[in-house]
Amino acid sequence: MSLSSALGAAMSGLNVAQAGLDVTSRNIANVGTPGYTRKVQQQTNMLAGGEGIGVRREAAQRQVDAFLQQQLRTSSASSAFLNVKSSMLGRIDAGFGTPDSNSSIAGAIGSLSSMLQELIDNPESESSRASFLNEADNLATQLNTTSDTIQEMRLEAERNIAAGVEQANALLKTIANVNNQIASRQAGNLSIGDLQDQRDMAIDELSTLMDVKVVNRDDGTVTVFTSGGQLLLDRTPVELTFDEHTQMDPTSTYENGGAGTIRLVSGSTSIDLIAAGAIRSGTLAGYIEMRDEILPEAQAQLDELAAQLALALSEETVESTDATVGAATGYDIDTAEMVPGNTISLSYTVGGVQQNVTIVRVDDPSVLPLSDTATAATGDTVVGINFNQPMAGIIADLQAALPGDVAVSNTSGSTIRFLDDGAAGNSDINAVSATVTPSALSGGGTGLPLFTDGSNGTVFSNSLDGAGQKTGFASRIKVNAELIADDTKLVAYDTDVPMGDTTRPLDLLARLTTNTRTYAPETGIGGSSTPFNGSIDEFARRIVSFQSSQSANAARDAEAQQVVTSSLQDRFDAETGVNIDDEMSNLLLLQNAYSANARVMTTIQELFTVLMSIGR
Amino acid sequence: MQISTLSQSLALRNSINDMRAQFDDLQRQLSTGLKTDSYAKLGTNRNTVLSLTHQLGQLSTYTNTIAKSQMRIEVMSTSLSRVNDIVSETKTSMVTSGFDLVNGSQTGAQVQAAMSFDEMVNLLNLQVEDRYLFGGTETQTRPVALPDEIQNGSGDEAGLKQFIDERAQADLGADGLGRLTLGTAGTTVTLAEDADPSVFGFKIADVQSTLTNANVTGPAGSPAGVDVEFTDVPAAGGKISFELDLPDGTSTTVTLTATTNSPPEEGEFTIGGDAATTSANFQAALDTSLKREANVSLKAASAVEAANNFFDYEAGGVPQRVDGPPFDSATGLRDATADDTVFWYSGDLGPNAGKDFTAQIDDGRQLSYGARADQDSIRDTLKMSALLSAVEYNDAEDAEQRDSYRELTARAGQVLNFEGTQSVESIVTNLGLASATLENTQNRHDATMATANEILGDIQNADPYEVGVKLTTLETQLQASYQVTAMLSQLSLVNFI
Repeated sequence: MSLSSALGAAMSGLNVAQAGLDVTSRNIANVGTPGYTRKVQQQTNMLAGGEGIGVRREAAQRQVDAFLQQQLRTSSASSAFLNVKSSMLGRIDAGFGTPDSNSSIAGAIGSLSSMLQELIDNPESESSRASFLNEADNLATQLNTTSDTIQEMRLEAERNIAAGVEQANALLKTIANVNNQIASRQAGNLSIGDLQDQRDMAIDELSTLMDVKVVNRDDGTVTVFTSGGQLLLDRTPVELTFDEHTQMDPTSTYENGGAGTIRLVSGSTSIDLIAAGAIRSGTLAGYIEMRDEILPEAQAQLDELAAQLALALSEETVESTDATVGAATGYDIDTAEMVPGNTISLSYTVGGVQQNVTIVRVDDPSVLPLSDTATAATGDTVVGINFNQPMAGIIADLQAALPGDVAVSNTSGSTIRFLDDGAAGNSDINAVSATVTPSALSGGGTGLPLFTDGSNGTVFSNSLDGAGQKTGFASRIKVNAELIADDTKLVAYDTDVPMGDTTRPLDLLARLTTNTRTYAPETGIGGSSTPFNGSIDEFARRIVSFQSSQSANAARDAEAQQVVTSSLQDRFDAETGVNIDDEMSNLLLLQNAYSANARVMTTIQELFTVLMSIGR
Repeated sequence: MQISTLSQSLALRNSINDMRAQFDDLQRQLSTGLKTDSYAKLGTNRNTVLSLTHQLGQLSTYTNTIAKSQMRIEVMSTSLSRVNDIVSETKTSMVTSGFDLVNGSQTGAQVQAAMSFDEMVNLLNLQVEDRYLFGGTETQTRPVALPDEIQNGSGDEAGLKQFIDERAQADLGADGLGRLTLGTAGTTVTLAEDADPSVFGFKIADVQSTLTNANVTGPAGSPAGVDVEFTDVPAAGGKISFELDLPDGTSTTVTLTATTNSPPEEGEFTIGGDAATTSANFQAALDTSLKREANVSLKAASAVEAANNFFDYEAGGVPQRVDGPPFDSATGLRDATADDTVFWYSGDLGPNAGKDFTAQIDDGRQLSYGARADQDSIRDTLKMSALLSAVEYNDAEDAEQRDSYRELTARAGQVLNFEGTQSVESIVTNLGLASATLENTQNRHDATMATANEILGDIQNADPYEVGVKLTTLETQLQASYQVTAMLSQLSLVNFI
C-alpha cells in the first residue's frame, strides 16, 4: 500500500476513461453509418499478486445476436428473391395497360371481333376491310412485341445473373481478406469489432444475391456455404463462373444450353449450381426462376394463343367417303392437302373397344414417336407418321401403328383407305376425317389463313418438326401479306362471290368468338386431364387474368416478406446500433471517471508535497 | 431495450415514405377517377372486369350493327311502301280510266304507269352508305337498269319495246292470223298451226261444235289442225267454238254461229245454198274472226309474254328473245346476250331473296333481312308498269285497239293481285318484323349494358368522397408525424448537457 500504487491505479483509471472516450466518440461519429455496430469498452480489475492495482482496458467489443443475424440474412435473401419476381411480373402486368383502356391482348382480340362485325355490316366497304386488317395487324404486333418484351426480360435476367455472379465473386474475396485480418488481430488480442462489421456487411450483401449459411470458427474467421451445402469459402474463396448468353429467343432454354448456367469452380472440380438446385433464394434465384420458368410459361401462353388464333381461322375439315371392298367397309380419306402438323382423326372399334386415334403428319422423323400429349385433346392416341416418304412407306408405318383388324391401304394417289375386317366382325371403322390448313385465300372453304408464320407467307399448321412451329410463333405471327395485297379475299371465298356476301366474315366471327377449342395444358392454364376449353377470346382473357394474378401474388408475397425483413432489420439495428442518448450518458460517466481519477492524482500530489515538506 | 438512433430515424423515414406513397396513390385516384391502374391491383375483381369489358365491347358492336340494320330496313321499308302504293294506284287507275288517248298514243293510266315506272326504278336503285339495297349481296352494282334503257334499249342492246315488237311479229305472223293457216279442200275447211314445234301464236286447244251436217275432227296431227267438213248446209243457230291458248298461258275462244243473214254479223257465218258455199262463207268468217282475235287478245297476251321474256330470269338464266330475224316465221326463243339486250336486273339472283343481309345482333344470334328487286311481286309490279307504258295506240275510236287495251289491263290487274306469290305488302311486313326484333334486342342490350356499366363502375371507379376522407385522414397523420419528427430532433441529451 503506497501513494505510488494509488497513483498507478489513478493512472490506469485515466487510461481506461480515455479509451472509453475514444470508443464513445467513434460510436457517436458512426451514428448514421449503416452496418456499424455499437462498440463497448470492456474493463477488468487489474490484479498483481492477488492485490488490485488498478483497472485494465480490454479490447472494445461489439454486441451482436448471431441467431438474429442469420434470420435476417435468410429473410433478406427471400425478400430479394420475391422483389425480383414482383418487379418483373409487374412489368408484364403493366404491359396489359390500365383496365379501363382495354388495351390488353384480350382487348385486342375483342377489337378484332368488333371490326369483323363491322365487316359483316359493310363487306363491300374498302374502309371496313382495311380497318379489319389493320386491327388484325395490331393484334399480331401486340403478340410480337409482348413476346419480344418477354424475351428481352429473359435476356435482362441473364445479364443480371452475370452481374450477380461477378458481385458474388468480389464479395467472397472481400470476406476472405477480412477473415485473414481478423484471424491475425484476434491472435494479438486486438479489437476486431470493426473488421467484423465490414465482413458482416459483405456477407449481408452476398445474402441478397443468394441464400448462404455462415459458420463461425474459433479463430474468428467464418466459413460460407450455400444453403444447399456447397462450400463457397473456407480459407480461400471458390470461383463462380457464368457463361452469359447475349442472344435469347423462345427456343433457347436452360435445358438445351440456350441460356447460361452458374458453375462453382474449385481447383479442378466444377459443379453446375443451377442443376444442383443450390441457389434457392436471393436475386440470383429470382432471375433464374424468371428466365427458366415464369417467363417461358408466359411465352408458351402467347404462343398457344397465336397458334390457336391462326388455326381457328384457317382450319378446314376434309370429309371422308364411304368405301366397301367385299364384306369389308370403311372410309377413304384424301391426304393431298395435308401439310406437316395436319391431322387425320380415326375412330374405330376393335373387340368392342372404341379407340380414337389422331394421326399427325410429320416430315421430320427425328421427333417420332409422338406422345399422346402432342395434341391438347384428351382421350385420343396420338400417332406421328412420317409423310415425307413414298406412299407405300406411309401405309406401312400406319399399319404398324394400328391393330391388324384395321386394314390400311392406298387406293390411288394420296388417298388412304381404312377398312374393317369384314365378315369376321371383330372391328368397325366408325369415322375418318382430316383437318387441314389450306394456304390459298379462296377456293378452300370459308375459313381464311388470316395469319401466317413470318412475313414470307408460310402457313401455320402447328408442325411438330424440329423444335415445333408453335415455339415462338407469337413473335413471328403476321397478317397474311397476300391478303393485304388483295383485301377483297376477306369476302370472296371463291370465284364469283359478290362483294356484299357475308358468308366468310360470319364464319370467321364464329371461328373467333363462338367455336370452342382445346388449349395445351403446358401453358399452365388448364390441367392435362381437363385442358382449358373455350373460344379464342376467352383464352386471351384467361392469359391476362393468369399473368396479372401471378403478378399480384408476387407483389403481395414480396410485400409480406418485406415486412418480416424490415422488422428483423429494425430489431437488429436497434440492438446493435448506436443510441446518442446512451452514448451521452456514457460520456458523462467517463467524464466523471476522468475527473475523479485526475482529482485522485491531484490529491496524491498534494500529499507528496506535504510529505516532501516534512524534512525542511 | 435501447433503440439505436439510426434505426429510429430510418423507421420514421420509412413510415413517412409509406404515407407519402399512399398520398400519391389517393391523388391519382382523385385525378383519374379510377381505383387502380393495373389488372394486378384489381384483385379478384380482375376476371369480372375482363369479362364485363369484353361483354360491353361486344354489346356496343351489336348496337352499331343494329343501328345500321335499322337504318337500312327503314329505308327499304319506306321505298317498298311506296312500291306498294304504286300497285294500288296502278290497279285503280286501270279500272277507272277509259280508253282515252290523252297524248294521242296512250291512256291516262298508261301515262301514270310510265311515271310510276320511273319512280320505281329510282326507288329500287336507292343507295345507303354507298351500297345498293335492292340488289342482294351485289351491293356495288346498280341493280336495275335506267328506265329509258329498259324501254328503248341502249345502243345495240334491245329494250322492252323491241321485245314487244319482235314478239308481236312472231305471235301474229305475217298474215295476222296468229300463226294459224286456213285452207279449204272441197267442203272441208282446215285450221292448223303453222309449225310444230313453235312457241308463237295461237295454239288450238280444243274445238266444240253444235253444227249440223258438219264433221269436226281434231285438233290432231302435227302441226295440230282441225278439219270442218260440211256434208250439207248446217241449221241456223249451230255454233262452232275454237279454244285457242295464248302465249302468256291464258286462252281465248273464237266462236262462229251459223246464220241465214247475209252479210253476217260479227261472229257469224252465212249459211249458203249448198255445202260448198257454206264452207267458203265459213272460211271467210273464220279468217275475219281470227284476225280480229289476234289483234285483240293475242296482241295483248303477246305483249305480256314479251315482258315476261324480258323480265323473268333466275340465277343462271337470261332474257329470252325471238329467234330471228325473220321474226314473223320464227318458231323458237333464244338466249339473249349482254351485247344484244339490256339486262334490267344486275343484282344477286341467288335463291335467298328476302334474307340477303345477315346481321350478328347478339351472341350466337343472327338476323337475316332484305328485299330484292327481282323478288316476284316487286319485279311484277315493275314489269307491269313498264309494259303499260311501253304499249302505244293511235286510234281511240278503234274497237280492236280498245279491246286489246282492255285485254292488256285485265292481265296487268291479274298479275298485280299477287295470287300465289308473296305480295309487296307482305315483304314490307317482314321488314317491319325484322325491325321489331332489332328493337327488342337493342332494348335488352341497353338493359345489360346499364347493369354491366354499373358493376364495372363500382369496381373501377374511385368514390371521390371516400378518397377525400382518406386524404384528409392521411394528411392529419402526416402532419402529426412531421411534428413528432421535429419534436424528437429536439429531444436529445445533447441539448441538455
